[in-house]
Amino acid sequence: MNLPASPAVSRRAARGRGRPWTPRRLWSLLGGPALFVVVALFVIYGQSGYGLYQASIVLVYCVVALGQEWLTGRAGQISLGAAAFMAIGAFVGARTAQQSWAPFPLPLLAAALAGGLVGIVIGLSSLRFRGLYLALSTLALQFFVQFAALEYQGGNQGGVVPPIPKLFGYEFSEGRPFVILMVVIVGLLLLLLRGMYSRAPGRAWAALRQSEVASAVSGVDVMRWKLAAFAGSSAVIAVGGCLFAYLTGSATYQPYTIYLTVSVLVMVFVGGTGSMVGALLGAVLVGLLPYWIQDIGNEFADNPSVYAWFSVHGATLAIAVYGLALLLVLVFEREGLYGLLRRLWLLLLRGIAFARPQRSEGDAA
Amino acid sequence: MSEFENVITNTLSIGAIYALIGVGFVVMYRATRVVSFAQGGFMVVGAFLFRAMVELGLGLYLSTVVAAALLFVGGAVVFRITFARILGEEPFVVAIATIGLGTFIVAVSELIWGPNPIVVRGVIGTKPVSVLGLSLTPVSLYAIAMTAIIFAVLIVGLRRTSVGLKMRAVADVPSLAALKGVDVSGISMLAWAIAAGTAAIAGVAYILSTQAHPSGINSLGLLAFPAILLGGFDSIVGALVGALLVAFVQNLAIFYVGSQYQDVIAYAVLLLVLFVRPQGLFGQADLERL
Repeated sequence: MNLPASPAVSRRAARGRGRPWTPRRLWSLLGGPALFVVVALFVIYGQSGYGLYQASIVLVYCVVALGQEWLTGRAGQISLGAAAFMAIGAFVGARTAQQSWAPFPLPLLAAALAGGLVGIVIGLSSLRFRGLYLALSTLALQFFVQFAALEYQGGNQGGVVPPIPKLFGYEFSEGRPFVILMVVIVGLLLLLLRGMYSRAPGRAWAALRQSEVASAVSGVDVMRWKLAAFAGSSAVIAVGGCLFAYLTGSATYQPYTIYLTVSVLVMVFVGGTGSMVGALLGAVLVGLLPYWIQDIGNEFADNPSVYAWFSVHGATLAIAVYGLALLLVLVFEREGLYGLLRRLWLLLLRGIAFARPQRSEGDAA
Repeated sequence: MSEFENVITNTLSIGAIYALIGVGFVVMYRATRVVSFAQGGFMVVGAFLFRAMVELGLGLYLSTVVAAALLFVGGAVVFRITFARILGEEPFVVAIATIGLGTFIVAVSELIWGPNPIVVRGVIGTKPVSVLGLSLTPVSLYAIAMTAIIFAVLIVGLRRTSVGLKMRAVADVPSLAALKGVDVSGISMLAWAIAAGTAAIAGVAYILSTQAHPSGINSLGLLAFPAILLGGFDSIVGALVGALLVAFVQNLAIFYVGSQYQDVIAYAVLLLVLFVRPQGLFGQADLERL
């Protein structure tokens, strides 16, 4: 824990006032955003048709995974409520979008507000319960929301259908326009979260994660930051749910089961907790794995029995892989895919550093 | 038959299943402090193995025993190769790992045996038997009998045998138990074996009573949580009492309010217990950790 004695000094230090603009600092500040822009441009203009649809799914998952990572990875709170918060966002957002007084970004704000409010209620229960008890109260939320959604939808099979989002006359219809919208949303969210995590809130949550008692003693307002994490994370997940409703064209009760919560946990933990890159990697993995498995099945197009097996069992195989990955990551490699990749990167750097002196020796000889 | 009689008979048969899921959970929680979300997964595997044994022609009792025994061994093996490595680590992380395990074994069972509802026919009669004035189907009678046997064995075993004593020592203070020469890892492995074995029996009882999809059986593992919490996480007797009470409330709701309320009402009970008496009816009050 790195809690400074004087907040004023630390704030200056955290923002890096007075530090020289070294290449290393520029890289740490701008490298991430630059990489994001390059990947985004590649996806927007390099993909077409089905690839763009897959990208939309992955980007919606990114929003949800970032929300869950906020609560679980940063603030260290256990929650099994992701699907419930997504459902809240989907229904509230889609219903708001149907109103004539609510042009496009407003449904997202409504979803965020509804998710945030319910998040505060769950957060209040987290002041009373910890660990398992908190997990169970979020599980209760799952059952209540599922029930409420089912009752609300009633016999209406189509669900709540939101109109296509439209901003200044530009329609974000399925395909490239929606992907562009999602890239902007995920980019803004990343900037917002990075700003928070590198400043006082991030330090407060890091302290909270390690020990509530110790952070309270060090002057962190435990109640305030816990509630803030619950409200913020739930709001982000609810926005993800609303975007999911936009993507699939309707808000229905079916997708928001406990299995969706499990896949969100897979994104966060398999990708790597405690890092936004990890959450993004997890979202990509969970979003694309079913398609990768489908591709493997397509390799066997000349073998009808194998091909049929893949088309019937592909989705289940993907779930088996998630489950196993979640188990193995938590047992063997706590930092997930991100940790693995970082270790490989460090190995590579060391390899380069190791190779250099050899070459200079060769030159000397 | 009056409606209330229906409530009572259904309470007994559903309660028996909840109790069987719950008792394994409690044994595992006591010995290793692991909160297991994998009980539903073990139930699915148990149910599939049971069906496979019945199809091999082993008969009702032998199939049940073989399915439970295979899961008993399976639970021990799973513990040895994975969870033994994270024994005593952050409970939160271990709980999430059990979610991964449960998801994995359900998906693998579906890959092996298919995602269709599990149906077992013709191994047990359908003619109701009158017991103490209640008309019970042979299936519920079998579930109740298995529950009674398991609970009797576990309660006596934990109170009267040296293994039970060691298990309680490990549950209280693992480090002290290890210092006294108790094989903590071995005891934990036994707890995992018991949890998986009893979950298998719960799975057998469930698919005998109704045909269910693997995912439906898995969800039942989650519905046992209200019962376990009501009874108290670390009490075996509590698991039984909590299971019967929650099943009773659920059946009251089914018969007098509407069957769509049954899951919600169970979790309403859970929230009530969380706020009023989080340690449950029979649990110890010091369970602050996960």
